[in-house]
Amino acid sequence: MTESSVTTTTERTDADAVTSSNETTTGESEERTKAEWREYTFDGEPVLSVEDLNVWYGDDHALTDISIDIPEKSVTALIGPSGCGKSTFLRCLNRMNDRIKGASVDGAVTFNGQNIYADGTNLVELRKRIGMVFQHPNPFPKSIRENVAYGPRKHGDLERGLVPRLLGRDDKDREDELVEQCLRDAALWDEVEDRLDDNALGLSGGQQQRLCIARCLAVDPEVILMDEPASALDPIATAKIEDLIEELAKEYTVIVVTHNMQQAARISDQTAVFLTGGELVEFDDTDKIFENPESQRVEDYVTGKFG
Amino acid sequence: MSDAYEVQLVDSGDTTYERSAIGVVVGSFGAFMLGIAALFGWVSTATYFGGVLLALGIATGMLGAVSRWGGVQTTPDRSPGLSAVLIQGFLWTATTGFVASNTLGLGGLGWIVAVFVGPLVGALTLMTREDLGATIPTAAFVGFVGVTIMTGVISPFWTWEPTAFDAVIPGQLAIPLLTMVGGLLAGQSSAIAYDGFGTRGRQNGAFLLISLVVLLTLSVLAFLLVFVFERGITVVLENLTIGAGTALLLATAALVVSVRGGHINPATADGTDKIGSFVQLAVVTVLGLVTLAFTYAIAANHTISGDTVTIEPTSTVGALPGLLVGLVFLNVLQRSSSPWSPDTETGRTVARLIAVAVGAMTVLVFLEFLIGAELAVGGLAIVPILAIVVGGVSALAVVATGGARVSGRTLPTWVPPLTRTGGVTVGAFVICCLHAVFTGSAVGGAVGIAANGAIDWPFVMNPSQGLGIQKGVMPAMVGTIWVVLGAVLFAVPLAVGAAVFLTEYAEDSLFTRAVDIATNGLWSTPSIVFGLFGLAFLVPRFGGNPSIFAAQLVLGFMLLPLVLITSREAMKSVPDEYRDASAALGVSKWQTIRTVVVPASMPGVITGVILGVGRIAGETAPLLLVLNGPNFPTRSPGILSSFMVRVSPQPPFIHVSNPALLERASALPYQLYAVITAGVGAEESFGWGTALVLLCVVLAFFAMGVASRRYFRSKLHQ
Repeated sequence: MTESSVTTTTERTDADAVTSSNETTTGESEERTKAEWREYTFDGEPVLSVEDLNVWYGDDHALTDISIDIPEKSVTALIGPSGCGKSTFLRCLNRMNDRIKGASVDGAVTFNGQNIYADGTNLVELRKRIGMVFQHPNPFPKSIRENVAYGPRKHGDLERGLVPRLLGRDDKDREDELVEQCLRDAALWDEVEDRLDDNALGLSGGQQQRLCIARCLAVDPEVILMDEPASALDPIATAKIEDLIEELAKEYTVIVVTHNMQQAARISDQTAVFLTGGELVEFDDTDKIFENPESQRVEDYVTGKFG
Repeated sequence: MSDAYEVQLVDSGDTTYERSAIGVVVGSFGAFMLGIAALFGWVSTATYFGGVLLALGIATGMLGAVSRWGGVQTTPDRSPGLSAVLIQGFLWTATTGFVASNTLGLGGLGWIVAVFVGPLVGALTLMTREDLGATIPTAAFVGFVGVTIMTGVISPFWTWEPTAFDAVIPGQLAIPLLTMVGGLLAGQSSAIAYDGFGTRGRQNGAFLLISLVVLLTLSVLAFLLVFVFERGITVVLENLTIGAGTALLLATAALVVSVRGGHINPATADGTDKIGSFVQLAVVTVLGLVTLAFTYAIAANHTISGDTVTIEPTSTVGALPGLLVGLVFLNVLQRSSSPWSPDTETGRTVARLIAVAVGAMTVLVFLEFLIGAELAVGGLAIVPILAIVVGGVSALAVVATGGARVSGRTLPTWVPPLTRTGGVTVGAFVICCLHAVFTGSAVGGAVGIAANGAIDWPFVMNPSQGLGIQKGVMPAMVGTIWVVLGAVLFAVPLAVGAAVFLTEYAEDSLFTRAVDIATNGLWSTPSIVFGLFGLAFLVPRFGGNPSIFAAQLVLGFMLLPLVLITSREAMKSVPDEYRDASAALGVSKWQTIRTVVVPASMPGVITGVILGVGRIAGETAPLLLVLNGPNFPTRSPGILSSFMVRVSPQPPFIHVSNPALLERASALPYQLYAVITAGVGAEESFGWGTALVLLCVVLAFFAMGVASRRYFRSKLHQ
């Protein structure tokens, strides 16, 4: 009984694999992804450089041979249909995929000249430098102040509590300054100034998301990864987040995954298009992608013919 | 339904038919309550119960008949449905069976008749339209039972001895039960009729049935509590004497807490809030009157005495009650205080002065605790003088700021807010109380703090000298408290640690599933098995005789699985988003667990502790084996005072020992068991008193648990 069912599953998986590979072949026969479409040249050193990145979830090949260089202090948008591996790619950049059971990553991601997948990578330090904002606002059930100060407190950059107070080393003033600065940078300060000690769960969805951005800024990252940061928000909150992203790009390198092509067109400097099968089809200036893409499939996707 | 009347979209609910139906519902409810009251012995059973049932039966039948033939607009289905058929079939089988076999004396033959009659009624019910099927058989049954009771066929003195088993069912029991069943049935039928039969009607009927059953459950629980309370309260309060000053203070504190307890206006609240607000209003009123009475007792130098309780017109306040009340007030003030950070030099000086004064008092009183004697210079005790000065100054400040606020004047910014100066005043009072507790000397004179003697509560404060001599539960109560505290201190850290490991570190595997099953099994293990294990394994290793320490460990083992189960569930329900967010900030796993996961699961952990403590505090069987002290010990276990710290050159250099922990002791359930099984000369009232105190101790633990759970919840939410 067990054996037969196992066989069936295997057969089905095989059949699926055959079908999907067939599809890929047909797609490729129609149009082959060309290397030069993915090559994007810019001045200066890339802050993140990805080479031949492959990701599997168990037997599922989620990302295929991704290579991409991301310039610093700019907004890079990742677009593509659901399940094409955008979020997976994003999570590879600060190794959050390590937390998913059964995920295996092959390839190299170079951050400021160092391969973050090398043995002995300090994940704490990596994630301090490459921060992340999630799709659903996820503030901790703590006060607004504690949310923002959470990272620095845990990293020992801010000393708070009874012992430092007794030793006269309490960083309350520095913390207040930091909290105000981060909340101002996240365009939230004016709305929460007089209720910093209220619980963060009492904020609206858009405010919570900006609080999460402030919390991320507080650890002073160089790169901020955003996984569909506005998809759970209404248009007004979305507009605020978009303004904020453009503002942040002056100081930080922002990489943002989005489903919303207008959003990508509005806020990003360059856009990478992922299509089904976990491949990166085209990466170029945003204007070029939306107005005159090289690939027919990308054009079909951005004009809404499929996807 | 095809020939149904046109159904009104809006039903105002006040046609004569609906009003009569609601009247029958209310009547049925009354009959049900009458049954409960008779069952619990609050009213005596009599033949008029039958009259009530007969009236209900006739009214229910009328509702059905009027709906069928009286031209009232209802929406009945074609048939009352299978469940109604089954109920009627069963009822009529049983009724016919009883009547035929017992009343008519047909014996077993009667039941054969019944087997035909019941299904026949069921089939008739099935074939009639709903408005008749749902009312007439019920009405007939209720009316018939009413007639049997009225005519005395079933009277309070009637008994029934079923042949199959050895029991006697007296009329005293049968009549209330039949009345309750009749009330339920008539209530359901008339509730169905109220909403015009059909789907809406049946929903209404089901709702009424469920409400009545819930009511029954709750009243059984309430009855149990009231029963114990009623029996125990007189012996517990025997010869209780309270100083009026202390009583006034306690009543005032209770008044403050109950006024602040909720801010619901009885006029605008609805549902359970309305009931709650009326209860609060009643409590506040009663406490206000009580406060006035105590004030009168002091002012008129009048002794108030009831049956067993005496209130003496002394105006001093007891140190321990004072301490308790002071801490409650401090808590209230601290909750309502806003942060005060003065920005002028004067303001900072004032703040520093306050900090120095409070700090000095705290340090001094702590010194007194350490040396156990008064710190005095030239015969004058320092602490009370300092406290009175500080408290006096801040009390003046309270009056001054309060006056300024009332007269609408603005105050300079260096003046501390009322909550701060009020806090200092209360704090000084608390320090005085602590001084009195630690040193045993009174503060002040006729008005002031008495070191002891403010409350004389013989039953709670004395040991028992044995049966028939003096009743007292002090050693047993202290024993219970120590045993439970020790068990909690032992079990909670272990259980939370294990839950953290299983949830956060261990992969979900055969191992974790095995642990889960084992934990569940351990929680259902009989307590006497735990006791036996303690006797055989722990007792020989800790002093060789049953002891408090062994009891703490054994009860801790019993508590462990439940706290583990609930902690694990609570940690599983902490959203993964928090863990992701923390990891994405570069925070290590352990710190995430400590600062996000464990705080977010604290309410769940405490729920487990509350449930577990409820079980272990009343546990008797294992204590018989591992605590096993004298039935009526003459002194309480002095755990705190028998800690001994000895420094020696041998490792581990500091030796801590506590001989009192290794002694036998008594506990409340254990003493209760001893009182009840003492045989000749046993005093029933002593047992009830002990039971009441045990109940109060468990409820006190419960209240502490609920309060701390609320505290942790309030940290997680607004």
